[in-house]
Amino acid sequence: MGFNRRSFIQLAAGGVTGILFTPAVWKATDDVSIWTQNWSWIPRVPKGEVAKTAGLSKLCPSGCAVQLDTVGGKVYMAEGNEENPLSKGGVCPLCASAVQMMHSPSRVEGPMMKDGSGKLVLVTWEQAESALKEKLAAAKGKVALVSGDETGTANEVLSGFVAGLGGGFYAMPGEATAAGQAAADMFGEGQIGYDLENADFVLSLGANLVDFWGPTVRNARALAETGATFVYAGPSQNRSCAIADQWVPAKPGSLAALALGVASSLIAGGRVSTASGFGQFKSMVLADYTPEKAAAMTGVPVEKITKLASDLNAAAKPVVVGSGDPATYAAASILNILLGRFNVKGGMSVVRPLPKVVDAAVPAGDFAVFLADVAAGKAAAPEVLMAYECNPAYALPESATMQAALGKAGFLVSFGTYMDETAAMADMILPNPHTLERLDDVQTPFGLAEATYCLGVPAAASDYKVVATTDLLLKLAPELGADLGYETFQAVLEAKVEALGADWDELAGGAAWVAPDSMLPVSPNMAADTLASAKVPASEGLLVDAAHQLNIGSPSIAIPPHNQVTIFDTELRKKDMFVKLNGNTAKSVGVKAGDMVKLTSAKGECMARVRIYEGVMDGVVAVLHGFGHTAWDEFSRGKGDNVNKILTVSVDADGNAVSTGSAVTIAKS
Amino acid sequence: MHHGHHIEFDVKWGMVIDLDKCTGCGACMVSCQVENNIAPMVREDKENALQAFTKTRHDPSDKVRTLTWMNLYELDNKKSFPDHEVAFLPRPCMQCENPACVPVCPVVATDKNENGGIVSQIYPRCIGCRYCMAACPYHARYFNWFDPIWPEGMDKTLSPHTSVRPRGVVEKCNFCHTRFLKAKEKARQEGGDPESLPDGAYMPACAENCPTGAISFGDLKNPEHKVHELIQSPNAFRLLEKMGLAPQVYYMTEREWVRKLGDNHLANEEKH
Repeated sequence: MGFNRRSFIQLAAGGVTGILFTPAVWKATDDVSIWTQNWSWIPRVPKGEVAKTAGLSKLCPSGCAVQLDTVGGKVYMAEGNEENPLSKGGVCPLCASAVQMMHSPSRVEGPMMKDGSGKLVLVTWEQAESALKEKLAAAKGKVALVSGDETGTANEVLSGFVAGLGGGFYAMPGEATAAGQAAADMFGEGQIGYDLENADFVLSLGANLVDFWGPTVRNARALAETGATFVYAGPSQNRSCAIADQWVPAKPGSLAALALGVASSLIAGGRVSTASGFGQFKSMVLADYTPEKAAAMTGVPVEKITKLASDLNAAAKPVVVGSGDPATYAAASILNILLGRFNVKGGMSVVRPLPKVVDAAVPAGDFAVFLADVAAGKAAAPEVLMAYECNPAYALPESATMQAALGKAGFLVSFGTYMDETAAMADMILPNPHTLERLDDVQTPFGLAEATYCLGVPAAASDYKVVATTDLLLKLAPELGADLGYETFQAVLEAKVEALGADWDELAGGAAWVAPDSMLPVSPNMAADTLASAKVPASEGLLVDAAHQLNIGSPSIAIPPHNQVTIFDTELRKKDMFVKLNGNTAKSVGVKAGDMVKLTSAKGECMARVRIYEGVMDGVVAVLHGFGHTAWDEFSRGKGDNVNKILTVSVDADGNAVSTGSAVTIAKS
Repeated sequence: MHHGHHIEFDVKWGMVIDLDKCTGCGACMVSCQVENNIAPMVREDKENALQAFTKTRHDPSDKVRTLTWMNLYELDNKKSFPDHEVAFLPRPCMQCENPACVPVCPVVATDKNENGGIVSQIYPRCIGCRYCMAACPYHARYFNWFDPIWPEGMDKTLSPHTSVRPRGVVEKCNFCHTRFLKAKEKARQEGGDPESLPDGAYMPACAENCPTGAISFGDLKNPEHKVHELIQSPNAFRLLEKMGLAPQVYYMTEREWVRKLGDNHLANEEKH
């Protein structure tokens, strides 16, 4: 019997049937699907015990109390911390990226100094430290330090150190500095806070409460949960308006005038105050800020101003929140005083400051004002200028002028964690550990009504050659004859915690210390000098309304890699950012949706595309901060343009920076 | 495959998103990216020696091919200044009761077969044909056009909860399914009933981290869960309800214009 056709078919069929009864085929199919997707370059997920630990992320200006998820002891995710009143379980979009930013492509690997050719090269910490010491010793009396940390006890160390060297200590301008100037004028001391949780009517004068202003996570939760009526007054709709009950469009730089218009309507309606200076204030507003005059200055119709006054009058627990410049904060304070909402629950208060533990610490001056003076030749450029947790080369208004003034410093030192614009132009970079890698704290973030303290202990060892700036300066201080009385920053914070009567372990575990009584009894002065700049100057062209959004970063932090997708393509598309104008305005200046335009102010130019957006008032162009980085990495470099280029700083008689409005012309390019 | 066959599960995990609380901040999106190991778009593939000959990857700010399991949309009432109003809408996978994506999958890589009603996505089975993407009216599904690449060192912060997907497969939100498994595991260990988790025991990353508390999550069928009550509200609605896919994600708003946008009505449409 030979091997014929039939037996071939039988064999083949039998073979196929046989194979199907073995697991080989199924295993092979399975393997094909697995192995065609199992490439060596696809990272594997980590294995290990999953746990949680408390952390403090200071990527956003007010700081977020977070829970850090760990796997095998390594942190992988920052989430909200329900136990902490600053978070109540929420986290801001910037701090949601906190862990990933530990490995940002922009991290500075170790200490760097400029070599002979002017290029930054890695050096050892010993080299860097002795070079810094030498520079500081030689420059005594001519040093300056600017800090971008709004809340930390680190500022006590930094300011004490630089004061000991006879130098100046400065803060980056922000809401806290603007409000601080108003508070100094009206109350003599303290920090302004607003008790949003217990208010039933919130009038925000330009404060983007949910996206940048103060403790955003807590603000947003308070506004969402209390069901308070929320009115936002400002030139354009920002994200606060998505949850606001009403938007009151008002010209940029006119919110103080709006508040004074409302105040004059309240006073005309019989509201009085026993506060000092009321008589003088009353005659001033009744003469200069009648609703009609305020309407002309703000672009808000008279009826709307008087309606705001009557709504505030009718509300049981209203609070008025300021923003932007000292005059607006002062005007907001005055409204709260008139409404009987000053130093009461659910109102505005002056918050008791936390005890100082470094005796040599001094308060900060406004860095924008100082640098503007340096640029104008009114102040001498420091021989050594140090920048801590801030990026003045990018984030100051009139950035071209400011960058030039920074360049005048004899020796620029960046304590930057990241290769930002300031680090890139520095003579020396001494990288501070990332916020989750260092010991740090948050003292009553600006805007909060309760004196609060949070501690952050390092959640991870750094993969980079970093030294905490605070520890470095505490070590150098005695060697330079400026002993601060502490050897380590840990000792400083232990003293702080002890002074508060708080428990270190509880704080390190993520709890917050809250003062039993936060309100500082002060007697306000209603005849505030800062109100002088409430007048809205006449201007030509379009007015800029520049807004921050935390998902795009902060003045110190550029767009984190994971945050790119949160930016709408109506904000940034490929390399072009968008500015918003309403249809009327666009028509009047002759631009159309999608046009590439150049915005030109007295101080600089900025390129963008046009988006027609009806949530902007006539005559205003709304621009976002956070774009147009020139350093950093592919996630932010060259994306859009920096609005700071076209913003202007003006300084009032008291030396306060009052940058709120900038006029620009717009032209197709 | 179901082909219209509907399974009614005892537990129905669902989300209720209060649009009157959403500020569009993006914290949900970032939390989602981190929890689910979604790589940021990186221009250069250092492993690919032949990059010069292959298709270029996209720039990080080019969002045509990014993966956003949770995505945000900006809505407005289409009115001119000063009557303009704005709202934001976060969009996870709707985990439809009658999903359009499941019956079209030729390889059963996506299914709705587990108590809780989460529509699964089994990456190793997926052949990348993208029928499901075409079928999903919510644009909730994404195709991996590129291999996932983290900036150097950032892969040290990968989450243990979600496997990393290669290029060529479709992926989508699964309500942080590993968190569901962990919650059930915990219930078992603690002597509870894994098929009847208490409210809050299982929370996806977006819901957990939302600063305003706009996102609620729970078992829509369980009267002890907050979402059960929330969906009874006259302000609650679902997206494209008239298509009949019955999403397990609800939205809430007091603003009528926002609710109207939810169903994409025609201008002259009669009420139904």
